[in-house]
Amino acid sequence: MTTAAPLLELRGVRAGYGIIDVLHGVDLVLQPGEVLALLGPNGAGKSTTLAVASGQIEPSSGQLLIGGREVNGARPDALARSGVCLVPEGRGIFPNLTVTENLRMMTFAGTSLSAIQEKAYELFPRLEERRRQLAGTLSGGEQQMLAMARAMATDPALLMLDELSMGLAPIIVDELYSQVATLARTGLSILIVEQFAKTVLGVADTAAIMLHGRVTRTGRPDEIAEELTAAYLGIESGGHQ
Amino acid sequence: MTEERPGDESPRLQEFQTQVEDLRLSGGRANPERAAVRLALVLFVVAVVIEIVAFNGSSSASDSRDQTDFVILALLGVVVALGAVGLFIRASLTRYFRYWLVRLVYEDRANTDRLIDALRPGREK
Repeated sequence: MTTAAPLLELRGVRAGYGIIDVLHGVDLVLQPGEVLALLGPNGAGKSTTLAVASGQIEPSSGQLLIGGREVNGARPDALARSGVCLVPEGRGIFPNLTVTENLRMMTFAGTSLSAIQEKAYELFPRLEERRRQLAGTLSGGEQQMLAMARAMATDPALLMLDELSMGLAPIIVDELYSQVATLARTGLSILIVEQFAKTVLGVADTAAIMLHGRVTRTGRPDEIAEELTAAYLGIESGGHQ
Repeated sequence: MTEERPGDESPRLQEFQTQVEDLRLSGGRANPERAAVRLALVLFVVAVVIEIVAFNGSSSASDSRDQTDFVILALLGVVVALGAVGLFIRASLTRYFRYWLVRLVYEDRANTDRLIDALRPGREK
């Protein structure tokens, strides 16, 4: 980045669904090349934050800034084409299509299928063995690998992962996060939303706790780890940022 | 990792910055169909007003050339009304089909999950 502007910044963002506000003034900063873990219990507004950051939900007030530019109202497909990529909760793959066909869906940005496959199989060799298999018949971990491979096929500058570990065995979660760490080392900026913190804190540079539609605490992962238990028990941390 | 930020100077990030700067923002048009439905309703009201004006004008005009002007105005009102109806139908259908498509995708996904679950080895029948 040519300037010191954060790659992603939310300033006082309020957003929701119809008349129901879910985010009540979210402030969040992701620096270029950083891995930020956004943690919090179910219903805290983490996924809605990602929906705002990816342009799917327009803030009712506040600012969404990407690379220092306010992009409120940008279309999600335009943001995706420029390099903002979201791997949604539930993976968002096409279960009735094969692995190859799922990867073919990512050629919309103009990248050839062979280039996408090469990149995907380099990241996740297991997918190459399963390339003719229906995505719905893959294991949960393999489906998540496919979702991540699809995301990486677009050469994102900002990768957002929603509940990567959901429904997966710990050993698979460790494997996926080791890939996330590899991606982070390439300079990719990553925003990870998780309920279960232990593994994600191992790869994050910064962590934030979200409660009731607000980011209540931001800090180093080791600092945040101590406060998480209180957050999950519904006790608001006194140390607001 | 906090100290080192290999991405800070990467060409990809510079390209990303350029792409973001080139983004066209719709600003406030997060729900274009709703805006189109509202516009259609406004246009329909305008059309009704035009028709009323044309009817009153033609009733009070004694000269047939003046009446012709009001007939033309009335035809314009009809065109506006037809445009409003077209816009309303298009926006309503778009909303409906979007919802329908999303529902199909979700149902299809749920059906596949059920099928896969049923075909899993070792599952009792």
